[in-house]
Amino acid sequence: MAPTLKETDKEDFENLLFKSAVLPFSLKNIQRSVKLLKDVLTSYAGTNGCTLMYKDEYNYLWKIGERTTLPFKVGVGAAGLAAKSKKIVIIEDTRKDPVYVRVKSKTYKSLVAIPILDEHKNVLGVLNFTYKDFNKSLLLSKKQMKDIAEKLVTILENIILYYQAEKQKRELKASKNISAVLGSPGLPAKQKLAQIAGELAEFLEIEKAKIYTFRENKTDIFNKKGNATEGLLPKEAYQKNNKFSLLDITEKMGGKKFRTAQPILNNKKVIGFIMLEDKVKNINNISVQQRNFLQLISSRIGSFISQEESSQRVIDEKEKWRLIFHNVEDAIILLSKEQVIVDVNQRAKEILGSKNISLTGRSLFSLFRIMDLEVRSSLLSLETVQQYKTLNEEELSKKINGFFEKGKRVMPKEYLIETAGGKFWTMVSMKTVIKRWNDENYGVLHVRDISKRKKLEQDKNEFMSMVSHELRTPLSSMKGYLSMTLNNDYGRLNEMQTSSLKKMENSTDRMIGLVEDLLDVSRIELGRINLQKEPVDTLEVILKSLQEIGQKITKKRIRVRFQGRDITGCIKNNKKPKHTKSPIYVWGDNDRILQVMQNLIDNAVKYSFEKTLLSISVNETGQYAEIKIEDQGVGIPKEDLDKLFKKFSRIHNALSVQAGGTGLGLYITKRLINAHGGRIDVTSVPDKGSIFTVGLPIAKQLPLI
Amino acid sequence: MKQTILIVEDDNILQEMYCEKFEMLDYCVMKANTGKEGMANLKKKIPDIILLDILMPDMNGLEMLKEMKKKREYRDIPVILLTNLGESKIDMDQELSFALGIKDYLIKTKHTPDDVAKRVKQVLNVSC
Repeated sequence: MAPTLKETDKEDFENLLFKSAVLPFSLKNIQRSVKLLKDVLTSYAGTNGCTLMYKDEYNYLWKIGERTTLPFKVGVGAAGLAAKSKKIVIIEDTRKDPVYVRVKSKTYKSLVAIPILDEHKNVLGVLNFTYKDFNKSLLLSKKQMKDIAEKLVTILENIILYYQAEKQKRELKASKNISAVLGSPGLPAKQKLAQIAGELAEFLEIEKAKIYTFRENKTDIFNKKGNATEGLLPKEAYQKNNKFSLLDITEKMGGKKFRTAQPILNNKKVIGFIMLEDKVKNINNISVQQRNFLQLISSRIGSFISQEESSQRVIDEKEKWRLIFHNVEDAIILLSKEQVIVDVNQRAKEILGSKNISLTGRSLFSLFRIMDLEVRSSLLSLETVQQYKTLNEEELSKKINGFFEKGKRVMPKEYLIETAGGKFWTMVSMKTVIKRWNDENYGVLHVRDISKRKKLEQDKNEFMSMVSHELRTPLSSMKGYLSMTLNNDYGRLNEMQTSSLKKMENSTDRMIGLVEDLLDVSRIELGRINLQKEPVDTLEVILKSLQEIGQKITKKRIRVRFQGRDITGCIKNNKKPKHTKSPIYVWGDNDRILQVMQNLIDNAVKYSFEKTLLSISVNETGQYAEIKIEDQGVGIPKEDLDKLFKKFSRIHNALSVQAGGTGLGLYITKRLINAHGGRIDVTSVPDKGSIFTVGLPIAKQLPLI
Repeated sequence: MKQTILIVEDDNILQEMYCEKFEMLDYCVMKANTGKEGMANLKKKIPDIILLDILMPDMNGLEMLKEMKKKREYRDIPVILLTNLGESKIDMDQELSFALGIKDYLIKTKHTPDDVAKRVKQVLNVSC
């Protein structure tokens, strides 16, 4: 005989339900209400145990009133069955019933699962009664059960609302925490990931969450404890690498652990994953909402990692350039347009002799000195050393500024410089660059230490000098004997003998000239040009030169005009023309100036057309004597003008082949003129002729005699 | 009477060449290969003029000149330097050599034996 429900009990029960329903919602109150409810139901329905469950929007059933909410999947167990079928499920012997495998206690014999449906027949949850005695489970009629379920609708609705709100709150909090961790400055990326793993484990209420990130063939693993370990990725993860998109890795590790992974993607590529682990909970059953949250977090981690990587790349890139900057063999100096040092590399510090001192902000020109005054002057586009010497500091710095602002590339030039680090032969070049972000001009100065090369060059010059000198002794005897023989000292020569010996004499003279030139070059390059300076009358020197090459002039039938006067006749008769005007004295070495003039006049004659005019004039212009040598001949093409004064450069034209020469003449000439503090310029029109203009400093004192 | 010339030159061929030239011109020629030999020759006979090379082993031309200046009997012998204007400092030190009283400074690759002979003759005519 089935027991029946007493009327008083029913009343109590309804009161109680009302009481539970109006209690303000908090977890504590819900727990209390559910406890009360259970108590009442137990006595009312004669059950040995009672569980109230609610169903979320994702069809998961949740136990109410417990701290941890272990979810049930709809369809599992009697409750699931009830929720799915919307019908009351009564199981007589749970131990035999395969549907209900989860009942742990073997003492329960039977179970009643009552679906709780709202007015639209939607399942809100399930009420479970467990009985030790099957007969008791039949105490309530199905109508009574439905009645109870109906009465629970409102309270369950409210509880569901509460749980949803709680869940959202927790999600929000976790999301906020994770954002705070990701955004916290100064926290290393490794620690950030470790803290996020901790947050996730807490939010999901699971044992462990780990973040794996792939790096080449290794994987970094971050967990709550913060220790990042390097390890090999589970094989599966590698194999599924780019394929898995959601919770793909689920496995039971030796029956002990539930695992689930959420891949971390960046640009559709898997760059790591979040691994969730728990010994008890089947994490694979987490709600869709939690999955969505996890996905959101993983995408944020993904962009964080890619950001980290790109900023690390920037740092790496910077580091790479620094490495190159400081380890090149050459000195590199970055200058502001005020010639203030902005940055220097290691080699520059060595060359500037300030290994341990900061050079930033110092003026470049205070740190080194170009040894050669002339070079220093020419660097500043000054015409003479004198000009350089008379400049005061302010003017000097202006000049330097001008030099700097040209904004051009200053081609490599060799300078002997002196710094606190010593004397160096250097090759210096500079390029002005414009910094894009502030439109400022900067100079990149490149200084190469060429001391070793210079030493080799010097050795070469010494050798050349020695060899040339040794050549002179046999050349002297060749020349001497030839001249004696030609002088008929050894008896009269016939015409053929004379003519062949003359040719030999010519060749010997050419060879002597070549050796002399080579010696001059090595002297110049060794800095051993020894000038015996005195007042030298330029007019006299020019006339002497003209006389020496008079034969060639006459042969080519060239007319010579000197200081406006035609002196062709004098030259023809090998007479030295008298100069009527007052002498113009320059300060120099007589022999060297003679050499210069001979060379220039000889060249002019060489490259003149026959029967043309060679015009030479000397004028005083300020502190210089300006000597102009103007010919009418092949001239020099514009593109060859630069090569003209360079070593071994010969310009090819109709006359150069027959003219002969070593290509050293103009080089020596220019260097000799420079050594006198003078300059040489040339203008030329091909097939018309050239004008060579030499400026030599005027002598300030007159000769004693 | 024959005039005597002392030729101090370390290169044998050059020395022979100058000797031939001056013998042709009827000079009495004394030869020396180094400065020391030159000084030794001076003890035998005082020449009317000396042709002196600069770069020579054991005693160079300038050193010989200095030695000569120390003795009164050698001091006034006219000297013409013959050189090739080498790279060493003494070779280029024209100022010093003129201070030591040389009569001229001739360059072997430039001046022919004839030029040298003419110059010698000039110097002797002046000093006679």
